[in-house]
Amino acid sequence: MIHPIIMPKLGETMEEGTLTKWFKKEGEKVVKGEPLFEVTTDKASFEQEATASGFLRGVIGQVGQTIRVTETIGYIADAMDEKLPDAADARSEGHGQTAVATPAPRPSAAAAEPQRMSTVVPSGRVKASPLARKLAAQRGVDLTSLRGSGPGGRIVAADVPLVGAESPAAGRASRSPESKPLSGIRKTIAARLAHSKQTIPHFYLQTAINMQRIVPVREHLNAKLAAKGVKVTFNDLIVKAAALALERYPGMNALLEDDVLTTHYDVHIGIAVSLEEGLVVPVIRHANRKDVVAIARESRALIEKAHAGRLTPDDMAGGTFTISNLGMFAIESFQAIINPPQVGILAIGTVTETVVSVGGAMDSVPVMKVNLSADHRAVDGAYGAKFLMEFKDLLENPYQLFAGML
Amino acid sequence: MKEITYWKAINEALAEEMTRDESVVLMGEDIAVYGGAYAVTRGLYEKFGGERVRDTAISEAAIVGAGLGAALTGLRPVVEIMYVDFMGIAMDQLNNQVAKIRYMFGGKCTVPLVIRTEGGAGRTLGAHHSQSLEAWFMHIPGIKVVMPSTPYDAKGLLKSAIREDNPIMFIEHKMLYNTKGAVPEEEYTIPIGVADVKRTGTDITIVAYSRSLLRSLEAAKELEKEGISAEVVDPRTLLPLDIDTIATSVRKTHRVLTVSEDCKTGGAGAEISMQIIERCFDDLDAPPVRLAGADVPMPKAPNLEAMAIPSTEDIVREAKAVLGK
Repeated sequence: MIHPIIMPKLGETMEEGTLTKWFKKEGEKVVKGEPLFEVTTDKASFEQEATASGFLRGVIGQVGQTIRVTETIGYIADAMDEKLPDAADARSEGHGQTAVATPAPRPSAAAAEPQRMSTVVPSGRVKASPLARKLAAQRGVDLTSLRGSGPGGRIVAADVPLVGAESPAAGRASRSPESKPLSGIRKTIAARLAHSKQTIPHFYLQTAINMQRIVPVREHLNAKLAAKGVKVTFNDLIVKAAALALERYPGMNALLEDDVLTTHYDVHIGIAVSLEEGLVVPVIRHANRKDVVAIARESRALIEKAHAGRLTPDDMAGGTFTISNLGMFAIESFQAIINPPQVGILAIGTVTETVVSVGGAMDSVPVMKVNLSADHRAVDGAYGAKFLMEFKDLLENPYQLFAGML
Repeated sequence: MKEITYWKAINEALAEEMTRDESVVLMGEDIAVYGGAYAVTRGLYEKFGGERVRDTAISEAAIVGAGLGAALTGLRPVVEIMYVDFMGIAMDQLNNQVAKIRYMFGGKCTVPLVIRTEGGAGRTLGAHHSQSLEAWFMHIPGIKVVMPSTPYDAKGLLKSAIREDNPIMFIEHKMLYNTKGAVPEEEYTIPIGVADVKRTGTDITIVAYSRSLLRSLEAAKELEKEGISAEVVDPRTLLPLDIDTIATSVRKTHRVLTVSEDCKTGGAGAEISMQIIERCFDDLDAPPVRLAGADVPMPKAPNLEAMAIPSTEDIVREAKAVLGK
């Protein structure tokens, strides 16, 4: 029996995925449930298991290729000599080396093929002018690293960077610029954030939070929880404080879409996690109803998943507010771009020992600067200020974070 | 240097060669008393007499055949075919006799025959009197095909053609006869099979001949206004083609556009482009592009006739397209 392998639809909005890895080679034996290939969407990477046992054959999908969902990327066959479907039936284009047994082409298939070829450029083929190829070879430049400026994206001579002796800075070991198209995840970031920054009238409120009380509370808590293997981070406390403040000021816990403002009373906080390939925002759901320890556990699990590239679209869906924390770096304060359709984002700086005046006397206290970015279409400055003051009060008087916990 | 017209330059070449060499004789329809349909031979009958400047019957096969016979028996005839369109009638004489005889007789004879004719669109003469058939002749081993674009080239090339011991198709353009250009007072010849860089440039090579050469030079001026430096190469002789000069240019500019009036399919531009690809593939930064006449019988209506051949605007547009602009 022949089982087609298709590009899976891994989320409601997913229309195409990039095939980033085959775990098996053409002709290799596959056992149902084994990892077979990896798909990267604009959100994350996903390992896909074999849905049948047999031999991997007729691999059409090439690594690096972006393929529409439900299109066939290969087959699992019970036997090596079973006849695979006609190439024309495989809903994939542009690959000469498909291992499909092709009988004499049918006229209709032959007629249909060139049209398909023209709509899909196989990602493995680099379009470059002969001169560009020659120059790239002479200069030791990898053509696949270049973006073509010629007709139809053809790489022309002008796109091949000068290197070495030909370079204006001859004599100095210089590294030529490398160009490559934005990855799926960066494209998503680019599109969403450009849209946000260009269309949302952001306003920014900054405050400094005295962390004098919460620092010892956290230390005490962690000492007690150490036996359970749980460690509460400042960020967990910040998530909890933000969740409670949002519960009290739900106008900040809203989504603005197409002139419709939807206020949410459950708080789902996205935490921005920076990965090498880009930013992902897993969501801690019902953060207002979870205690600090539950938030700590969930947050840690999500961050680990993010670093492993295993976040599912569901892990990243449904956020009503976002926290971006650069506290682990020596960033005192910064302003974040709103993650639409949300209307607010908190940017958390590092905790710094700061000299302050307390009742006329100088004291050194740990201070954390936070910035709220808010969408002025949805909320006004005073409302944002009240929310931020509530957030500040919760962290400065941290017993409030633990109410109902004991 | 004096400025003379294209027809006058050809007329001078004929007169000078007839003066220099008594074996040079002219034959053709209405070339003697009337002076030629485009008046190229005017005054020659009066000067050289009816023995050497002969009107013929209206039979192109007879004209070319008589020319061949005269050439084989010691004369250097220059025969005129009024329109290149009429060469169809003389094609067996040309293809099977004129072009083959020296080869088939082991080189024991020579064929110093020049067939002068003219082609091209522009006078709304319709499908029978406006064709550009040079590609037919490029397909015949044993002859040479010369297509001058300027008075200077026409005179120098015709003088060389008359002195050449092999048959030559010398194709003029009806719209060039009254164009003017500088021609030296002193005697000169231009070797057959040598192209001429009519304008130097760095961004694109335009290969054009005959009337299309003039339009290409106009286009190059337009392109210069847009910061595009076009080199214009005139092959002058299509067979043999001076591919070395063309290739040298293409290796410099890395891009090429051919411009000609003949039908695009199977035309001169196809041959030139392919020879460029054979020589310069690794130097090309864009596919060679052919701009040529439409694959249609030449329309009689002036507006349609103009559309059927490359205009200066077409050349500007296509050159920019080659450059991705």
